[in-house]
Amino acid sequence: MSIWDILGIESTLDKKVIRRAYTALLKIYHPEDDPEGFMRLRTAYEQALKGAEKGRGQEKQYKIDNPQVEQATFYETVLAENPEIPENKETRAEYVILNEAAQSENPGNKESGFEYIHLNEEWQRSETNESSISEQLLILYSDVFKRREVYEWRKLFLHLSLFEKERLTDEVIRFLTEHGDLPFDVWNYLNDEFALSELPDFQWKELMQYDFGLSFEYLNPENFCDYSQYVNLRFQAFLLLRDFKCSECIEAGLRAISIYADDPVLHRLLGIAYYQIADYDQSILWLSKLLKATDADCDGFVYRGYAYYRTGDYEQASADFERAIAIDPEHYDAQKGYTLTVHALKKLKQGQVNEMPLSGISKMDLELDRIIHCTDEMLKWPEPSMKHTFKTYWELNNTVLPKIITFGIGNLICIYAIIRLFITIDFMPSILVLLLPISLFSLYLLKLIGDLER
Amino acid sequence: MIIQRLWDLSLSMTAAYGSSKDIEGLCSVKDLWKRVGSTEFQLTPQLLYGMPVYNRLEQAGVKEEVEIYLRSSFQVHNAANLHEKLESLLIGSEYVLRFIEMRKTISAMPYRERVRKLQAMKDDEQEAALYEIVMQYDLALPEAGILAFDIATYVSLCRLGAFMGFIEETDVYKRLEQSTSLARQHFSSFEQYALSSAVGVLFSNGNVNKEEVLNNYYSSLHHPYSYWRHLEWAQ
Repeated sequence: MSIWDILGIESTLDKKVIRRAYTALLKIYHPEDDPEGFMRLRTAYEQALKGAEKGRGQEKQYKIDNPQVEQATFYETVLAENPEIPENKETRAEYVILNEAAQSENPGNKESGFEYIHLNEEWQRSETNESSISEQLLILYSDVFKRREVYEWRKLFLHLSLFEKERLTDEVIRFLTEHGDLPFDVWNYLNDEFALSELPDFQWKELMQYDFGLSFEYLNPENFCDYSQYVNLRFQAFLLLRDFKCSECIEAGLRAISIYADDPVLHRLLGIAYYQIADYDQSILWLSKLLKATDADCDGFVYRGYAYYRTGDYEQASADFERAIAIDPEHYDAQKGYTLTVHALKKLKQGQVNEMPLSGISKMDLELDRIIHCTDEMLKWPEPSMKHTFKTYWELNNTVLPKIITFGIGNLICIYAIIRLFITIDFMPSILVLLLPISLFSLYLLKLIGDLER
Repeated sequence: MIIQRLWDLSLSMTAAYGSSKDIEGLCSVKDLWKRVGSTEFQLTPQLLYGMPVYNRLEQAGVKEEVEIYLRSSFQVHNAANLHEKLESLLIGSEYVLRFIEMRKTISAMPYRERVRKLQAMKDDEQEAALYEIVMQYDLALPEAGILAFDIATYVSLCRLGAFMGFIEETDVYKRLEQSTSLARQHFSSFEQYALSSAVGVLFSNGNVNKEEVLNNYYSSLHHPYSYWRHLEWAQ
């Protein structure tokens, strides 16, 4: 079975076609479900890509070396000079690859003469395509191990004149907008070259401004796995965490882990995401993997320390915070975590803990101050109800009391007058006339008494 | 039923309005926490409003104070405004949304880069103060961030609205059921809820009046008469 049969496409030098076929087949030959199938597919894919790359390079070189030769003539010439080359164009590319393998095994053997056999009818198209910066960028970006090297990027732009660079800037920016998974130092270099941080809407500005630790250094070229797919998933996980979509981040991270499991960068992302959704056991698990690989990761110790603290394992938490403080004595979260933990331990062991002196915590912190600095003296109690003296009672009712007194006196005078009239004159109409103001005064008095504040 | 209602009411303790009047009201009811389980115990308007029993003059003063507070802090001066404000809080206040946005920018950022980010904001002190709060409490807050700030404000507005006569008592209890379910969904203890809410108050006032917020936070969790000293989160 040829590599093209495995990939399910006709032989081609077009990397996009090869990659598309490979990506589609990955769903069928998943590394976990069918490791053998995946290995076969991966080998075919890598050979096809290698052949395509080599083939195109040789075409170019031939054209440079022989500018006078027409394209069609080349092919005929080459075929005539190399009778062993198959004439069927479908099998040509494969032939190149297989011969290339033989050549690399016997570097002294120059007889095969396969170098020029790619000069097929696609030359014209590939010439124009290859000259496009996007394609070169894509080739570089697709190779994870080249992508991580500033040197490779520099090489790409080194030969460009200022005029060319200006002409290509838009294309580069367009490409980078769609392909943002680059290490910090590469972003820095690209920013220097194209002033990306000055673009108003460039979406990866933060990645060149701050080092999010998205290093590629832990990817091992010796390992046989789909790094391209891996870093893609890892970047997805990072973006999801940056969007605070922690569960989705974990999902993407675990898919990435199924491809490559030894990358502390991803362990860190998973540890943080699990911490944020309060799954502290899982957080501890992934952060421990991170710290096994890089024992100077201060944040790793801090997150794991808090995860231990939240689960009540204060001893482990305290040890982690101590490590973090030893690495970065100014780390606020480490100091706070340590103080909280020591306090919890003290409470647990009734004071049998030696506290390390801390310098950095001067600002108010609700969590810390509630436990350590606040006392019951801060609690407020309702004021006891006021006992009234005549003075305070007068002050409280100074609008109502004078009216009550005035109307009360008026009422008394009326009542006195009625009694007097009744005794001396016995004149009923006068008594009736006086009864009206008395009742009105009495009603008003009752209202005023109701208004009194006691 | 009564206990559940007290639980619902308790969610406003760490709101910006503060818990002092609420606690004063709780203190003024004799043997409240002993009687609360009995069938005769009734929820008084004072407990619903979170206000102690006042004489008429004091009541008028407090009403005026609440009216000014509602008007200046929430632009609420009638029933229609109040309902509008409550609906907007259910969608999410500007503070909660801003906190989320800020937290996103630092969530995947190592500590040293966070410090660099803060230092780079020297020219914008207000923005720096807000980022400082987000960074300071990132590890302490749950995924919901300062959502409890909105819940506490919502409950507080319902209670103060009822005190001012902008909202019916039955409507208040119906709305409080909603906020309780939201709180239970996103938080797992009164401590966690209180921290989220108190950080929200700090965030909303730009980290000023810190001592006041700390006092209220401590008092809500530790005052012997506070709801949270007598109720369980998983009630």
